[in-house]
Amino acid sequence: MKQEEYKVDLEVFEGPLDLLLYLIRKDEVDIYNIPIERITTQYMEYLSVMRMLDLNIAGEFIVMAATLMMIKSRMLLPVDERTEEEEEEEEDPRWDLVRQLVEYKKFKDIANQLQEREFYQENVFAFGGKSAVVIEPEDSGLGLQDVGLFDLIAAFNEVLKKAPPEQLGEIAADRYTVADKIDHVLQTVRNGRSLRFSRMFGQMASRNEIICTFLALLELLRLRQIVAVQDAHFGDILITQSDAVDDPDTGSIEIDKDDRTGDLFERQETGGDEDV
Amino acid sequence: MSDMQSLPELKQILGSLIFGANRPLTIKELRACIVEVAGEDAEVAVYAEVTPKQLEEALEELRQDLVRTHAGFTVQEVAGGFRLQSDAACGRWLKHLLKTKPQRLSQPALETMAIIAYRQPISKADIESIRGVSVAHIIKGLMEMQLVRIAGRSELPGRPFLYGTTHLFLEHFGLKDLRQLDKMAPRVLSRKVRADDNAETLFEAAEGIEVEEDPRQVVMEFEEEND
Repeated sequence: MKQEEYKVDLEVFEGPLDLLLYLIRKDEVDIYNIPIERITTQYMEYLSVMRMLDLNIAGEFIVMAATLMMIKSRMLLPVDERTEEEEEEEEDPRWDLVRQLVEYKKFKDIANQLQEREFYQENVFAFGGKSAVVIEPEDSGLGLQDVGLFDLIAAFNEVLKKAPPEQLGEIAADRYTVADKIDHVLQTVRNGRSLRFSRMFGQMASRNEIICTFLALLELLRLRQIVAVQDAHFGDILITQSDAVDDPDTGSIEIDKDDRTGDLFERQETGGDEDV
Repeated sequence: MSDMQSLPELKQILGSLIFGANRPLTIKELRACIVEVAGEDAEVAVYAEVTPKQLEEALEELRQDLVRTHAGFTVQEVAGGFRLQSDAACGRWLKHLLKTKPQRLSQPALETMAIIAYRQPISKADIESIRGVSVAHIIKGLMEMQLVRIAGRSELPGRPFLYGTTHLFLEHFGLKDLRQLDKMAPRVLSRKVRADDNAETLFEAAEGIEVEEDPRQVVMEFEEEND
């Protein structure tokens, strides 16, 4: 499954708390009463998809997986079999996590308010010009993503589930490459046409092809050649050509594997794997 | 000559000052100007005793006049100063004319921005404990965009940098001052910011740092810290 010839070096700016809040929102469960077993299962599923895509998973994701497992096991223990210390605490093992999630959510909500203000301010011009914030198009991954990474992974996971199982014993030559798929997606969205995420994998036979296409999408999003928008929360994702593309005839994109300056999900050098 | 009727109204003076200055003006600056001119020129001595409150009222009146007449622009307080700005409803035409591209931050960047704004001065480790993931690159980017500045150093071991917001942060999000954040989300703002009666001191301190230290130097030092 690994794309030796082309490794997408995507780093994830979102952390494990983002993923948990995403799952909580998606399932509409009560943040104060998280069904830990269900959420843990889903969390692990997302993690394995991210691994399959070779995304650089921050160590924090693994730490959180361990935390979830620990909470789960502690909740399985009958109360009278808990150690004395634990009894003294008499605290829901989920409490620390809940507290952290609630605190983080507060800032996520504020971030949304800031974003509304940002959109509003876009339409306001001060006399004599304003000293505007300059976000370079190829900047450090701080530009807007209309659709979150976890939305994309969720959609990808759906498609993958529907894909026919791989046939054992058959060794197929690599018919698909990410580079080809990049061309293909660009051709499709040219001239302002839009593409539904759920439909773009329709006739695809193999998991290999699906993964190549998805990696091509991520790469194009990173390079801001396309934009992904969602009409509703957890709705279908629409892929369109980016306004930022100056030359509509850009047929192919040169991919510099070492160029990480424009990484949408830029590599995080710290907070890394030593935590594992 | 001292014909009271030909004397310009207060809001009129303020409007022309803000128009002519071509930059945001604070109440303090406006008042100083009016009082000084009143002292020099007997003709307008009536304005010698003008109070900040009167100025604020006059500015509000001016703002309402402009809104009512659909002038296409209005007076707005942003980042502690009053400026003239276009009506948001007409943004599409101006965007077309000036060919500006929207400058929008990503969700992770906005979240980090929110944490820094409400909890400043705050260390990287504290931001990370809230977000649950490394923010080194995001902070670096926000600093390069001058939305975030180094606001000091913690007394904790290693004396880590503490981060705060800049003047440009207020401008980018169209905020009057940091206390406006308190209205957006009550009980989140750190006590330190809320207690600071004169939030301007925060910016003055900020400008001090920018003058003393080459911002590039600061970024470099920051990188070293993260290595």
